[in-house]
Amino acid sequence: MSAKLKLRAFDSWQRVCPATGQLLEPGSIQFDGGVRLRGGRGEFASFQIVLGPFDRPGRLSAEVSLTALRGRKASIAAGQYDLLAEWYVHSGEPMKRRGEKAPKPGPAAGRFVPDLLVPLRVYDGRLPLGLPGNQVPGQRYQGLWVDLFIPADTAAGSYSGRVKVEAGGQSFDLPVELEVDRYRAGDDVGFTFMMNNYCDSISSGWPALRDNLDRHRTALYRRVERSFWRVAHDHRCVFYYLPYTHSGYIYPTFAPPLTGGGPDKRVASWTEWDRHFGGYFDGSAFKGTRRGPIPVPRFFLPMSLDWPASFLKWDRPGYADEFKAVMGQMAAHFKAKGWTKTTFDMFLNHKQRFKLYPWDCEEVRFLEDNEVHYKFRKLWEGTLDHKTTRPVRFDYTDGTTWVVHDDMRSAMSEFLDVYICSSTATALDQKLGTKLRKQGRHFCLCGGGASMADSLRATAFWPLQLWVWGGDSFMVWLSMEWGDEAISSLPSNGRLTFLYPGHRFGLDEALPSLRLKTVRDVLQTIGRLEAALGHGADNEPARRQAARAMGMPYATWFPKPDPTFSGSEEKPAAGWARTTLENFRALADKAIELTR
Amino acid sequence: MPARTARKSTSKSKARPASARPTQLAALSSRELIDRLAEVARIGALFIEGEDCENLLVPEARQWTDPDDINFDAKVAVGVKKTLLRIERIERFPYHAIIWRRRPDDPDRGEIMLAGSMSSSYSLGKKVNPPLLPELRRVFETGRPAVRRGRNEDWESVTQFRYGHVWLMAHDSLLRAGRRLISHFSPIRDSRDKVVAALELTCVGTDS
Repeated sequence: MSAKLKLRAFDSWQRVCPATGQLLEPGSIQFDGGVRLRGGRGEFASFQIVLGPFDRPGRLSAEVSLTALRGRKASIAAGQYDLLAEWYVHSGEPMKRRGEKAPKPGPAAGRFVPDLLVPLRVYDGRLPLGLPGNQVPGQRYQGLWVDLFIPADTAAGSYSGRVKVEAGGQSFDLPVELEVDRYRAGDDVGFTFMMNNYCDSISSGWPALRDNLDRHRTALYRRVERSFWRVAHDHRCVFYYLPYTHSGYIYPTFAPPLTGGGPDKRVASWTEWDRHFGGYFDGSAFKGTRRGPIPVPRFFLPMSLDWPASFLKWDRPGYADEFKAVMGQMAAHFKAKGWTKTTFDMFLNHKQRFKLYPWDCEEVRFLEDNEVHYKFRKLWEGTLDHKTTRPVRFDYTDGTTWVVHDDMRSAMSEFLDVYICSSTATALDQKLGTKLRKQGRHFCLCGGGASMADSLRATAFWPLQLWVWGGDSFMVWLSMEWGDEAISSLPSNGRLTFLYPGHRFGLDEALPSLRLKTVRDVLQTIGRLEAALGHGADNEPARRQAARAMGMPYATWFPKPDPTFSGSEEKPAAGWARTTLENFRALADKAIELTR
Repeated sequence: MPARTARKSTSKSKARPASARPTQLAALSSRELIDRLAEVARIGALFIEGEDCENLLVPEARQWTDPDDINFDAKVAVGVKKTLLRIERIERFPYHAIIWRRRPDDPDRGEIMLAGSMSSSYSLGKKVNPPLLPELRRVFETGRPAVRRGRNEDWESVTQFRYGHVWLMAHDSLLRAGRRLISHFSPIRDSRDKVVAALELTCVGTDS
């Protein structure tokens, strides 16, 4: 005889084992008697429902309905909820850091955990208890993630509604209470997650695209690609897509076609490129998202050693002619289009190790390779520097992973706008971010993310730590590392996976990871702290206060100088195991208190 | 669409689907392609100095074994790179030019030294120098050119598709349709006529 189904409701911190029902995140809140949420206007609040045990996956399904949330004078429509079925992915082993003993596996290690979130509309609005194809051994529990967006024009106050679930002949009915405070999350994301990726890492998720050599001109490609930007946008992140490969190869439509040569080189037509990318810069590509049509804050240009100037002309006068001619036109075109809310990043990604160009243009290890940047400086100034192109903004971006402290002391500091540093850049100088900010520079910290096998606290601690270090943004060098089509496990334990391809579910869109929700929630907290106390790099007291709220002395957040450190061996979220969920709740409470 | 044709499309003022644009590639049999690559190799070798291939890396870097430890002598390498890019323009169908050497620490392995517009499909990524292909061995040991025709299953799986070999992405559906990659290997000699490097010219064949 089947056991009776139970419904449990949790906050957004929990992960429940689909086989045993075990709670994998100590300290998460289980809502008994009703779901309690809080948030500001323009923020998301989330909870989870877990049903089980059931005797056999796929035999039952649940109907889930949520009512509008009604306040004293206003209401929040039920349409502001997003219902996402939890797909389970094997977490692998915890991350072992170089030079450290293998950590004791936590409860989430070596088992299936909820990660990929699938819109419930895929299942006609009903939650299968055991998603078809998930094939979790011994699955007896099924989770549902519930996102609630609080529209920016919501009146502050208390709201209430209900969530009803019917499954297996049983009914469950829970009240949902929401407290909305006056704080409004700004359109400017502030400290954000730059979800770095390389073109064309999207098409492999869709066979119809992969098999079409002309795919970039199809509506399907544009629709799929745009969804990645939109999902990132709604999570207060930036989809940061480098449009050329290490060889300098640019896929069709990722750069405008050029014609002519030398000083007469020019863009032949902006039509295709504008159609592909213009919507990101005027915000129209984000219409219909929760956060609305806000232009993307940063964008990688297709500029490389071989575009717009031909590398065959390197070190010849024609190279400078071609660069200045085309990039001057680009600046003029962007100005005419009014694309003034996006910062356009020039980033030379070439590296010696790929045997295509003879310099490391980023992650420089031999300082003489900076000669490339000094040559580009001469092209940059007078063509794309801020004064020349105002009100459009171009930034000279460099991955100074190994040599940031040298670059800051050299003539490089006179023109670099964005320093992308390794996660240990602050080991030698805790005030690095503040110093860069004082120079008007952007400090971005790059590494890998936390492992799925580690607690969600690791994923949450990672951006918070980088903010305390004074970062203006952070990135993973790859955010869409996909595994097999069955999506049963991920390479690198999910450290490099925050978005999934929806093709497997018949969707031409990106799907978020549960861990991306964790990052989003931390970014919302940081957004409040910045709103109240100023940008992290500008305000060390703000960062110190956040450290205090977390119950961890400020000095202990920073990495120790390590002479054996290679620079390319990041240690994301080192120290997360010292945190508890009470620390994160205390921090969130503090952020709300400061912005109430 | 072959990558080189794609690049050409960015310099044309009239945008039309690449698939509708005629290419000389389709008109050539694989045998004819091989003959043409052989002629390109003959011409190209005239412009590549063997000593430059030996001096691509700074002296201390020539023996390094860690694939992340690379340090080119940019002055030499820029010249060779430009020559490879020009070699890729001798014929009008798309192909790529790559220079190989034998690993000094392990002569049974080859090492890609420098590529023109795209790297070799025989690259196993930056971490590994592949075992010396029989065709490359023939070039280094006999000084005679050799041709290799490979199948798609020789290469990385589709999951590596995204950021492995770019031109495999560009050609992936051709390869999965049974077309073969053609690589023509020829010797590069130094001033003492010793074979010090090999030039690979590679393209997608037009028949299975």
